[in-house]
Amino acid sequence: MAKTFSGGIHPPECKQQTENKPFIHFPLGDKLVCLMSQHIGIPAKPIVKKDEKVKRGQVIGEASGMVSCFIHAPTSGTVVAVEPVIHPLGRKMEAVIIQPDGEDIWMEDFSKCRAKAKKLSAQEMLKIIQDSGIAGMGGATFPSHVKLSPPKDKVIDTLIINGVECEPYLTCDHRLMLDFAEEIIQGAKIIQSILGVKQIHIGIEGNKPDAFEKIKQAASQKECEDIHVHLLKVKYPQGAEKQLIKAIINRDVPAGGLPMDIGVVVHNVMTTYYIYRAIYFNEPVTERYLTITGDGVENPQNLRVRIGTPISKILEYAKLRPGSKKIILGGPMMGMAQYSEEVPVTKGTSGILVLQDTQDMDYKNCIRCGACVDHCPMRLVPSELSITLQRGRVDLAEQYNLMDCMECGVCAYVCPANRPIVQFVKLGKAQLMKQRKAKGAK
Amino acid sequence: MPEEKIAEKLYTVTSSPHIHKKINIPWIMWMVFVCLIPAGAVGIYVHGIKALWVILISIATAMIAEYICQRMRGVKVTLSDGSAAVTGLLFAYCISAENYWYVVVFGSFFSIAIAKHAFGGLGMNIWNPALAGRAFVLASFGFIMTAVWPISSNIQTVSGQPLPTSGATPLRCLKSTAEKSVGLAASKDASHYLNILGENGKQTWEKIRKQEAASWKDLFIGTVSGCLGETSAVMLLLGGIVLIFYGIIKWYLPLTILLTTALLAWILPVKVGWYNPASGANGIEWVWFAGDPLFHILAGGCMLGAFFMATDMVTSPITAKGQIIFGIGIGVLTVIIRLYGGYPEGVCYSILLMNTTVPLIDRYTRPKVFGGRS
Ligand code: SF4
Ligand code: SF4
Repeated sequence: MAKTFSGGIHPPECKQQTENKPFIHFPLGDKLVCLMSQHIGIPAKPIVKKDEKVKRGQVIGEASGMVSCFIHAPTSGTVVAVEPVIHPLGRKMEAVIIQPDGEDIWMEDFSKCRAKAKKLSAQEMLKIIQDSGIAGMGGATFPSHVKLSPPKDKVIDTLIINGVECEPYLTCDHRLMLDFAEEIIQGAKIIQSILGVKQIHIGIEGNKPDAFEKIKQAASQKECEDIHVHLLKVKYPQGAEKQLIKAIINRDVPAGGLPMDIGVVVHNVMTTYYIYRAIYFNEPVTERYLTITGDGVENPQNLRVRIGTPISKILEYAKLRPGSKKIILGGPMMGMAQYSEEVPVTKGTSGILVLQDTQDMDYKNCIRCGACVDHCPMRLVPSELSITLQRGRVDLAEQYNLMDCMECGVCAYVCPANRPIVQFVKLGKAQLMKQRKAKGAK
Repeated sequence: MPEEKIAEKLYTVTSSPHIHKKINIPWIMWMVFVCLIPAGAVGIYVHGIKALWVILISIATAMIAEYICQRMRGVKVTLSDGSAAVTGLLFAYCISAENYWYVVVFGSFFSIAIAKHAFGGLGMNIWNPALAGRAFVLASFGFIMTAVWPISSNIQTVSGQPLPTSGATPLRCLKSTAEKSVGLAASKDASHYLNILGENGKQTWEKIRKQEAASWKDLFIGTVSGCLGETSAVMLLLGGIVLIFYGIIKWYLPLTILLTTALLAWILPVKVGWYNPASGANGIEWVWFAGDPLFHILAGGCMLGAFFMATDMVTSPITAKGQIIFGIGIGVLTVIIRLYGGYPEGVCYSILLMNTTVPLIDRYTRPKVFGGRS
């Protein structure tokens, strides 16, 4: 029996359109829009001005504080504007807009750095990772250096590398594991030495046996005895941190807690890959891999795209079908729908999903069928949450563990009454945060 | 501030998830409806064409009531979602086929208008609407509901044994015979008595079931007297299994109801009288372990209740644990009413009573959140 967790669903995978397509290098284009907020935490501060010349890898946005990330110029060129643009979250936010000069010149020559990688201390490596602006590239975009420097009182004994990619449609992590298995293993070992952990576990979902073999092979070399590769049951959300930890090492992250509370740190494969690049090549994040797919494009692909590339360019390349109704950044279960195709690619853009039809917005009373309760991976009672939140009872919803909901969308997926449970939850959480803040201010 | 143009073309924005399982309320309701049809067909065969009229009147009334109520409440009319049709069908199944049309209309109307819409419509009702309707007509027109249970005279039972001429349901026979035995034992009227009863309690019970009530076979097929759609255990089982297969109902709820009923009906003591003509001794005794478990789950509304009434999503607990508690409760109450209560049948009231406890059950069976301390 493949390892897994309780609850969850089996949505149609829809990965076959792109899973066999190698990455294509996406052209630079004539405009790159670098948002200053591409990570969870405080936005970076732009430190370049209009008309300034920049080189690829040059810092254009400075991290403000610990939980923040540096932003680097994705190519060489001229800053044409520093202004607010539409962010994938819907609001307008500060961005540095660069017009590429086509030369694509790096700030430094990176070929030399390789040799010294092995000799770096944990502190030095952390510094490099922080300076490289790496944030969780699976989509969560939590600054990686923060995850890698747990508070002193937490003893970390296990590192888990997340290669599950349980969101339907997306295949970029899959392709990345096929192309860069060894680099990912190297990245995992870097993280291992930074954290000082013994065990490394790599989790891959059962629908990617080729990636599993590749990674396993890469992990079978010498000095890799502590690396365990697991083929996990195909089930959504197998890639959610808590569920992944449960499946692989059977530990429960306490409600309201973090993986580090039980001695675990989880990193996505793409993050791990970029950590490898940062340490071995001193290379900051200036591009990422993503999947453009869905029934709304004629030419679904896996792409290697510069950060800041406007989505409209990629849609054009993938041949947007007329009449497509929805553009989603991320996967279909947790991705964010966009109203504008002008939003740029950020460090967290794991996929662009274009769908032809929109779902029915009409919803009914909960008929108490229990499907959401049976499938909720957090073992909440989503029906109760949605009903109390619909009535505006945020206080009650809080008692029903509102804050433990990870917005995975399983409940809304199975609901026969088509209830927008995740929407209620998101609103409810925002309200609750506001209330808490107001209370704190008093 | 002037309106700012934000983008050339606007796409639809909705909250995640952006894909949904192909399941909806109409599909669930119509599936239940379809799965109920075989049992109704046996009902029509056993009770004659009038049963069909009862069904049609009941469904029509339910749908009209739904329409009126939804218009009055100013909500969207959802006749096509099948929920009113299912309620109408279920109500027809749990009343006698020999009924005045106005009784059917009253009950069906009550089911929808009072038991469902007065509480806020589908999803908000506390009691199973069809059963609430049945309880209402039983209280209002009791004489019709309990007095006559006629069935077509030209029906052959499977076992070849004649149907009780009185038209009494198997459960009623059972109850009245047990009661009679107590009286007869006291009167020492051996001539009459021995026809019915054996020489001790256990034999007595077996005999009553075989001779007076109905055979297992008849109960299983449905060629017995009873409410319109409740008699055919096999057809109800079939429909129930289809619903379980499609995940519309959970197997553990009907199973707990049936198991609890069978177990308790077998164990719990019944008061019977006995008489031994040879010695002239007689007495009244509480006989333990004398009940016939299979008889109790095949007879009366047990199958219909277990598979189609108790499993009503809206009025049953939401978690598996809750449903099991709910099922046990229904089984216990059913047997207590059947053996010791004033009515021969107890499924309807047990389910209604347990419906009332659902919010409480839900509250105490809320699952422990992932990573939560118990
Ligand atoms: S979105 Fe929240 S409530 Fe719904 S299934 Fe996921 S964790 Fe449970
Ligand atoms: S899945 Fe929808 S209808 Fe069913 S219990 Fe949950 S919220 Fe209610």
